[in-house]
Amino acid sequence: MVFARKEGSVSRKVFEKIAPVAGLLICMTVPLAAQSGAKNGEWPTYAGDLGATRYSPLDQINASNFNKLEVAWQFKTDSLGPRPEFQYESTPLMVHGTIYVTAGTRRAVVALDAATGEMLWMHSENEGKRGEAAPRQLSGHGVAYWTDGREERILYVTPGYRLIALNAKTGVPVPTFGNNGAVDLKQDDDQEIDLITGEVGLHSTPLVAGDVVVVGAAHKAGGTPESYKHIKGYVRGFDARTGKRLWIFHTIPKPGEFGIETWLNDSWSYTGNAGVWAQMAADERTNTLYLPVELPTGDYYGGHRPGSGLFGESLVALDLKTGQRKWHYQLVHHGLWDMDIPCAPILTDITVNGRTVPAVAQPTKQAFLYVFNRTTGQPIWPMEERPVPQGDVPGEWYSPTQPFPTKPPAYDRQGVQPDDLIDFTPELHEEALNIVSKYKIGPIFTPPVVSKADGPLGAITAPGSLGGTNWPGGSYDPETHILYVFSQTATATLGLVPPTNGRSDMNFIQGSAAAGRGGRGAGGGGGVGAPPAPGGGRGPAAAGGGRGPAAGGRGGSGEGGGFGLNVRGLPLLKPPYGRITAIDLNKGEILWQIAHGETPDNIRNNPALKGLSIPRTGRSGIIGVLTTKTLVIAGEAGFFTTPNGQRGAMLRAYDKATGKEVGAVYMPAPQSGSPMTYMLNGQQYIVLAISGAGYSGELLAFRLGA
Amino acid sequence: MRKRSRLIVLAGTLACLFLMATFPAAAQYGAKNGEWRTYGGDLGSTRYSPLDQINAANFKDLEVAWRFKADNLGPRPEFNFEGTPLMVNGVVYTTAGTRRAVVALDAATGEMLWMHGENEGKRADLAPRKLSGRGLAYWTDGREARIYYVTIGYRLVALDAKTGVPVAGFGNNGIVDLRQEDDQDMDLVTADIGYHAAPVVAKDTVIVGAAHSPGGVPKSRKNVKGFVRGYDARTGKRLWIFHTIPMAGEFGLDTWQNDSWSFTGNTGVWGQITVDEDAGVVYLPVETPTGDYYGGHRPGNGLFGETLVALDLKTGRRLWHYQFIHHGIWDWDIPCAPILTDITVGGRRIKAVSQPTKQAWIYTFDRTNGKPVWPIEERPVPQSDVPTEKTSATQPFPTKPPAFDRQGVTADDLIDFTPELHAAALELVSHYKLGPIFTPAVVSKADGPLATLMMPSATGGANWQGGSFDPETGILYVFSDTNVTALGLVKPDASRSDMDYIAGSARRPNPNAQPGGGGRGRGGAAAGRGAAGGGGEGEGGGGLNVQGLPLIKPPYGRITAIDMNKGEILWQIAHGETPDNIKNNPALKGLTIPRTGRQGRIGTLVTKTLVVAGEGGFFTTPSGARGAMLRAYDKATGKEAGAVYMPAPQTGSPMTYMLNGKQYIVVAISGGSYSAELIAFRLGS
Repeated sequence: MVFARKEGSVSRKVFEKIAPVAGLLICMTVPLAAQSGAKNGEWPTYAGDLGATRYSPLDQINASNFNKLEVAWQFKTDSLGPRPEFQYESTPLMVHGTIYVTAGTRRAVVALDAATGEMLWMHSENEGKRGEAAPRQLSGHGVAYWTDGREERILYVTPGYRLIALNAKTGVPVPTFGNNGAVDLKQDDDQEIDLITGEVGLHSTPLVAGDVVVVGAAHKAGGTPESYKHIKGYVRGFDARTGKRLWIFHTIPKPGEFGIETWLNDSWSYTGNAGVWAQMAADERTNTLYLPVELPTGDYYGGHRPGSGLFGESLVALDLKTGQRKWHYQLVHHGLWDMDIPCAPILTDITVNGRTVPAVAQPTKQAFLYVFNRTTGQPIWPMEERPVPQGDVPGEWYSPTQPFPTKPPAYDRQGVQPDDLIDFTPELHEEALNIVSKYKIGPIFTPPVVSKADGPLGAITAPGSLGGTNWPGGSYDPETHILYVFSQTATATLGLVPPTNGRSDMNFIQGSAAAGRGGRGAGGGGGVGAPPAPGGGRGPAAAGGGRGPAAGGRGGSGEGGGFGLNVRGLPLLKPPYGRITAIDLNKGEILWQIAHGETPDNIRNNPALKGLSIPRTGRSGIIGVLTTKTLVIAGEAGFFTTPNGQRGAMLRAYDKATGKEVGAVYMPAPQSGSPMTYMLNGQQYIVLAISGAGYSGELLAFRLGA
Repeated sequence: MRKRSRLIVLAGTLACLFLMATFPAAAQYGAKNGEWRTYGGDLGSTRYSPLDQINAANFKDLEVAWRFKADNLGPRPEFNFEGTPLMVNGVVYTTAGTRRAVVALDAATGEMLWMHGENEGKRADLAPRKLSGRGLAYWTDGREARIYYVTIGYRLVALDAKTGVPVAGFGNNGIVDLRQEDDQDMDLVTADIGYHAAPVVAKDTVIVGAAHSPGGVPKSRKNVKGFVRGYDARTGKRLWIFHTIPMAGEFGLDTWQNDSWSFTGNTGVWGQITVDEDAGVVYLPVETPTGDYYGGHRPGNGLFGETLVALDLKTGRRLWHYQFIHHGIWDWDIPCAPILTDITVGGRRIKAVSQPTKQAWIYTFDRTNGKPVWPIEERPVPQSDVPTEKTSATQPFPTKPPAFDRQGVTADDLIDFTPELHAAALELVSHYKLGPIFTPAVVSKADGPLATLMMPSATGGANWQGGSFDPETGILYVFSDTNVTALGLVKPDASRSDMDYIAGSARRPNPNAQPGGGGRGRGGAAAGRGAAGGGGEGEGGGGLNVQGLPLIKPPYGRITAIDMNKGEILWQIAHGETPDNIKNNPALKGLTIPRTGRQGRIGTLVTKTLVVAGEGGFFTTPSGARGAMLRAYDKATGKEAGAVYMPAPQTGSPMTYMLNGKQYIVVAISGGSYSAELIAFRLGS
């Protein structure tokens, strides 16, 4: 076991020497693929492995005992910042019996005893104005771990966009890394950025592979940008030992670089964003890095950036050591729907027509799973460029076609038709039809419209701007080749208005001609809930949340698929409002799909549904899933009155083969991070971040009783 | 011209007066500059701050500014958080959690700035004083700033106050092993010695005392001795040691007959230590030697047991001492910091030191020479009839101020809400020996007496939290419990102890706990040294109760204000609402019982106008929520001026500071199932 544990860090030379002796053992215990899941009962990277599988082969916790899980420890994060946090999205790491995680409104890093939750050390950076002005605040998604077998380090990015390296044993910054442990990411970025106010940050974890630390970039949510000019979100690789910049990849090409012709009218020069705010994946064996790129400036209006705009909304494969592009595939041309690629691509070695293919599968907000040969970038199943609806917004440039994966099928509703509308009763359906009559509806890729008071007010699209799938992404079982992904079924209302009062130099920003509907979020909901607001719904609000702007407070515990648009307090769309889909990647087919999450109280108790028997509706949210030897595990996204009568949420386990629920345990607040698991002293633990309205950020650790 | 010069003189005089009025340059001035730099607010242990933004008019409007939960500062949550934080330059420093971690918090928000914990493995698991302890010490030379604390495993650690990183140049990489260089041999892992008080730093000297397992049922008459040492604050080098039990050739050896000095241990200083920095004098409150209730193996007065000792800060040399109890067998350790009190007695200004005690006397001395300010008389006391015990013929009795709590137990002290209850109490005590203060323990007999009923109890009276002193008015404030301990002795099994006698009852010959002490058990840990067995939320009777009611009349907890210029009690009030189990007791149905006060280890804070103290136990508060109130009293009259809700009882002592124009009051709370938390109050904006 010890030998196997060290395998990952053994140098190639040593490896070759010992291979003849130990080869067999290694082969048996450590399937060498990047997507083998979390090894040795640890969880050393954000998603368990660099292939972003969120898979662990642990099996102590199973269908027969899941209901008996007990709280092993809790870790409250209130004091890790000037005020408590109510949106705790981190996934902790576990290495050698220690948990490492970011936490609190200062995005502190803490090391905890994995058996007891005892704090071993903490580190935080008070960045003053720079931190306050940052686009991505709060605790972020976590940290990265690096070791050369001798030294161990924890790396994270501060809200103010500095890369910090800490001694994993003590939490003390590593003096030989960068400038006394810190690399200022606003410098050496091939563009000028104000060190205080420069609007760029990151809430994802850095990725560490092959002694390279890779850091992306994130900006403010962009439905109503102040300008069509902005900072670009480049990706850089740094030496894990010294912090020296090794390479940079221009997600918006510079003159002479590949793809510049996709930016008409020199729009490459001023357009910004196009960052990588999501988690990345890496194949260490082939030294390949996979980047999920977001869209360029202007989430819903692209008139200032004519052209398909590479590498906006593209999956890009880079050489890990040099940052050289190997291949790319643009999932959306000239995006107008905020269909950022929101999560890690998942490395999947699959068997298609009897042939094993090293593949990469990309879950998306638009509910397509795009699957490629990760060596060549060729689609596994044909992707067809099909004509899509063209809009009439003045100044907009429309791509005549968009790529449509032919397999697997979309795992959530796409587009809005009358058939998608609520139909619990004919009266409700009638009302829904009446509401949508003021809007434009249509298939996927129906573009935004200029909002008119007498209609259309906007285009209603599904999935909404938050997905479908968002930053937690999916989970993949390397043994069965089944991919699991949560998605929410919701709409966005995409209306455009000219900005007023010098609010922006854009021709159009998101808004509505109807009085009182002008807010930021696509689909509005309940405003932008200020970060500390204990009562304020779980909208990502100011912070690390799924990039989506739309996240305006999700209205406390009331929710469902409609966001802003509702029919007598009920979601506009039919349930399920949240679902987990299992996709057989060998076949490109959906294996099962279930509603995830109990019916919210406000739906269950809605007078319009009195007397009706409504099956579990699932609920909307941003939910990461964990796959183990036998289970798919995911918590609920919102509060409800749990079976024991308490306000809370359940952590649920499903038989991964069938989707049948096999157990559920109470949590005092909804899942807001993604669950992970590890084995320590003979006990399997499941740990996840929870938080929500009135319940501040907490790590909750479960294990079976003694 | 003339007029003008006169004016100048006048102005000068006024300025002088003003200066004198506002800056009496004494150690007991109280906490300065809106900070709280040492455990007791100042090195004189006054727990006084001249802040006045929070006052009688607005106390009830206090809001929670922040909370700090200590659960994850150790392998399990703590339920007995006794620390008093410091506040220096906008940063709160405190020990916390079952690992006794040190944390630095933003004093405005409670945000954690750094934390440090030492995992000492077995050494800590076996340590006599666990949990978070009472706090830490701050030192600066104006350039560098450090935090000192003593770990559970008895190591002195120096941390950089800015980063929490151990100071490389101090001791061995920031650590001095206190089990070494102690003029005695002890096992580094298993030795029964530790410390839960805050170390004291004065003039670049760090002073550390010693504590042991509570000693009613010691395993042996032999134990580690609790010496006191001074260390160089910069290097961690030992500067001096004071032998609280003299070694051969040293002063006081003759008070240990039969060479008992050689094997007897304990006699540590686990109470807070006080320093007169101007005079360079350290004041040590010394505890009882080995055997809390039986002294047959240590015949003689046993210096410096239960003695107030003044040492030279630089050399550790004894300047004077005064033994409060000769050959103590009541566990009346001196439990808390002596308080430096500059007072005016009979028109004469005296630099005094006043020592609150478990036995409810304030002993007051001229601190420059150790002479009592008011006569302390050696009076004959009851003698022991335990074979092989030899009690002191006399004990010192302060003539002023009067005892601040009941002493001794007579029929008059027993519950008398109704004649029936009183009769039941009389029947109960008929199995026990009663008597005045200093009535010694008896050998427990099944047919009586089972024990001597002693009051104050073995945990006081006052305990580790001590008192506070207002240097402007010369008034001292002290909380005390009114409670009894049943002092019975039994012969132990040889396997259990080599003592002739240990505490116990003929009805329960091999008790696991300490003698029938104070109602509110503080399970296992850093609780006031001594007899804290059992009890839960019911209280007041020392395990002895009458139909669920305390054996002794209320109040069960009180705050006393003592005018130290006159040596007189100014006022005394019951502190704490009547506990639910008394309020709702069927035996009291139809009776109107005034507030009974309640027990606790309740430290008081004195500000410009208020005495502030929280309650020692849960009750159903006026809002209907289970909790406890933080109360404020007019310091001149004792009249309650306001109260605010806390979710759990006060377990540490409150402190106060001023930051960005706001006064804060911070107190450690915990108890029952409510885990340790610092709670910070301030007025809303």
